[in-house]
Amino acid sequence: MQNTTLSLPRVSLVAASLAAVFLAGCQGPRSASAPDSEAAPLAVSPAAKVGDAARTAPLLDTLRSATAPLHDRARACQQLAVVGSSDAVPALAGLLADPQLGDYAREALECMPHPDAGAALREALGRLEGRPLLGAIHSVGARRDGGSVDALARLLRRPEPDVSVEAARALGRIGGQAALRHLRNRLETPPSDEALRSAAEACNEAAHAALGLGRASEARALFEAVLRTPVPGQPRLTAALGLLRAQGEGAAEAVIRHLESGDAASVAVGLRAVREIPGEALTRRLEAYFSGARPAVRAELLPALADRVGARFARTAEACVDEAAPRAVRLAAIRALGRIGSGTSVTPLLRTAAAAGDAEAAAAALTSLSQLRADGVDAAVLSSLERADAGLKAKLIGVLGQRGNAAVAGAVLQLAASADPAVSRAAFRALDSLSRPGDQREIFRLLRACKDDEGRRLLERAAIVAAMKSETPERRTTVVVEELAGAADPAYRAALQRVRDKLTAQSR
Amino acid sequence: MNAKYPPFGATTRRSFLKRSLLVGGAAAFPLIVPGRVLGRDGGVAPSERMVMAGIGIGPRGRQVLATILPEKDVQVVTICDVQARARQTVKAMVDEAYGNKDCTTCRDLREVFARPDIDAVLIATGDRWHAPASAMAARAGKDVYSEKPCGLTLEQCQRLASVFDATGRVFQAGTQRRNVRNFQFAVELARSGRLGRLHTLHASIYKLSLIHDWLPAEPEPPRDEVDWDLWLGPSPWRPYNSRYVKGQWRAQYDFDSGAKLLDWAAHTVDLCQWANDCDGTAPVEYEPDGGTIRARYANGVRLVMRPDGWLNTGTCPVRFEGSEGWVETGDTGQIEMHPASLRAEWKSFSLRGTDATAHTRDFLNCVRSRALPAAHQGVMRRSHVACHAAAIAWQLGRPLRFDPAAESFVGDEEANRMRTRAMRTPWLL
Repeated sequence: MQNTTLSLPRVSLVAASLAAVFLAGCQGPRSASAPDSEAAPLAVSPAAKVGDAARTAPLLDTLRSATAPLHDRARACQQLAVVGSSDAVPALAGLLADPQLGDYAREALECMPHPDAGAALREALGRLEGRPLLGAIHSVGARRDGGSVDALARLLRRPEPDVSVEAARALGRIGGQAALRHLRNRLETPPSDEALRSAAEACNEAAHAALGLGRASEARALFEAVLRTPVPGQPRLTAALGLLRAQGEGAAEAVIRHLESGDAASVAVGLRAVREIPGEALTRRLEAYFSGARPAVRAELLPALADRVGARFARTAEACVDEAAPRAVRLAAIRALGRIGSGTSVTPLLRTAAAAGDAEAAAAALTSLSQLRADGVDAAVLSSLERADAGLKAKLIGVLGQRGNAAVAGAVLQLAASADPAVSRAAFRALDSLSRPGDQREIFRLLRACKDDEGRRLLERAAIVAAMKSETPERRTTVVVEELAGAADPAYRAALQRVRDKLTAQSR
Repeated sequence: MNAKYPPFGATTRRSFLKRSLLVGGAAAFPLIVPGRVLGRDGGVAPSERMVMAGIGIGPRGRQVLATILPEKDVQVVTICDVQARARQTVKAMVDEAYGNKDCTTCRDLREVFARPDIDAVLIATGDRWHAPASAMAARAGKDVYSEKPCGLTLEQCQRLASVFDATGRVFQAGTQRRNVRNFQFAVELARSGRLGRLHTLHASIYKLSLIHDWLPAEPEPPRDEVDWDLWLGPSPWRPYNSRYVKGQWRAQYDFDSGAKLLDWAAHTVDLCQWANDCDGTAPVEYEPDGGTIRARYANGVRLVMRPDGWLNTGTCPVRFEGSEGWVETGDTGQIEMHPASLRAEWKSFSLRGTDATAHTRDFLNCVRSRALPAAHQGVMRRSHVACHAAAIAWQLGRPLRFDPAAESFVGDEEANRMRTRAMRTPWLL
């Protein structure tokens, strides 16, 4: 789980070259091609200096001008965000309250790593109001400016909800002992529900960041502080999930409590934790728990455990396919086997597909059979066709088609000649993925005999697929052209022409 | 529940989670269970349906919405848009699908997020809104399907991923080609080694362009007709012009992602990352070359982002080249492969690359199971970081080195400053 967030660069000023094209706002450069060498690393071009007066002076002149168009002043701010330095700070700070240019100026200060920019934003916290103030608060948070904590703490106590909410967020982003002390005080004595919520969100953000940096105990303390409050909804869920993550493998019993809670949101937290929190000890505990859990829990937990454990869980899932198992558990198991099953999964899936009485389970079993990545599945499905009635046969042929193993193409071609229309149609469809170049003549024989439009359409597709698999593009149309030469029936000729035309178009 | 802490209180999730037939989530190649199998007779009781809202549903949003409306386990209940005409158009689409007039509309997305009955949202606004709206949704307890590009800047993509990591909400980026079979097939060839050792990946991109000029100012219409302030959202103020709200915001620096690079690259670079088994990282070097950007991963594989020189496989093509073969495919579903022996595996794919059916179904399944969908926030973050890094290199017109672990440029302060932009209050991430 990737928890790093961007911190503003704290690098010292380095020389950086400026593409004139960027400053002018024109389209991209027409640069020379670099030699196309597979092994040689790219050379980094020499960088011109950020803050180079020759670059920034015109921008500052524009910014300070009383007559420059608004657009030009806005662009100057955006360009100073990239190349500006401390000499631009006063002019930018002076624009923070401007209703049209304020956000542009703030962007430049927010992006500029120079301490003067941070100081300007900090100073602005004490004089701005309304939306400009919210922006300045956000920017000191984005800069993770520890020097703003005291000012933010004062803003936290402002009566305007949006100001205190934004101040809480900024403190959460900044983190650190001082900021968190204010937030935890807020958690304990919030003046309103909104204040509680914002403090909880901020603590969650700080805790999440701490967890990402490996400071699990610090994260845990923060999440627990949130959970001790009555804050409802997503902040509570975030803290609950965060706490489980912070506990790691030690969260097994807590995860189980979530799964057993009967509360949909709490169960969701537990399921995410099952999928996320690593550790063999946790896996063993969850598997042991699964076997004794009540059916409603097992039905929800099974897919998550299947994702977590993988193929090793297949045997457990197979046992759950038994018809005696609760229906929801059975269905979950049948579906999971499509992802994690092995050769031993084929028999219970085939049995389920063939069983009458539960169409949904049968359909799920067929889907899983089509997805199952294991040896011998196609052979097992083929051999089961002998015992199947026409309806099931057609569905199993569909499974073979979806699996796409050309080794069964010959058998499916034979089924395509079946007198039962359901079976032959299913075989036509399956040939869409199974047919091989050498099958073309047999497909055309079937096409010649076919008297309905839908059947012809399916066989035309199968013929195209077969031809497209030919190793030599020039030979893709050989067989269909030969067939055309001898075709008399108008409908058959039309079908062959369609195939030829499609192949010709594909080969261009 | 542990008695040490108060209970969760009113849940924001519907009880369908307890009774629904859960399905698993994404595997290496997501396996999609059609919605119809989730109901015994093809129907799902209203109380067990997921409740969704659509925000900023324009032309692409309507295509995605069209894949959601037929799903029997979802109910779209409200449409939010800053433009009155769009609200009415999309409401009519929803009403027609359901055969009633129950769908409500609103102008302000905060109204959507305040509704406890809404489980998930489809966000298909312009690029500038994707990240802040998605983050607001997550904090309000909603799962999100967000159109791409998911963040206007590199930093927005990082913060967005962090919000979804922390909250545990389900996020699906609108990079639906991860769930389209011809692209999956091409990626599988690359990952399985059947192309040999991968050495070059090619990702199609638009011709890049960047506009800083403002369109001429026009009088702002009434807010109920077009709420310009809300339309701008987190982007900095500029005067209103009707052409912006009719789609002419593309390539505008303040509204589009990365000089139009992410428009296709969000898809194609994402597929290349997947093919190269680099969903957890990004290239370490970027070099602009006219309208092309060449990059290189730490494992030596090259990534070439280019607008031209493609075979005729449709829009958004990708090409993967290895020591023993190559494969190229695009939105028509057509696949070209080499060597000839690979042709034995050729398949016919009829689903177009723009079709989001399987991708939305993947999202809906994961809302139920709490698994990560195919284009979850972690995948999105890395592919978008790579795209933004490339766009920054193009804008600066020079080669750049990048540290994927720190997600920062090496020795280039300008480039690092370009990773982020301030957002207009009160729309902050």
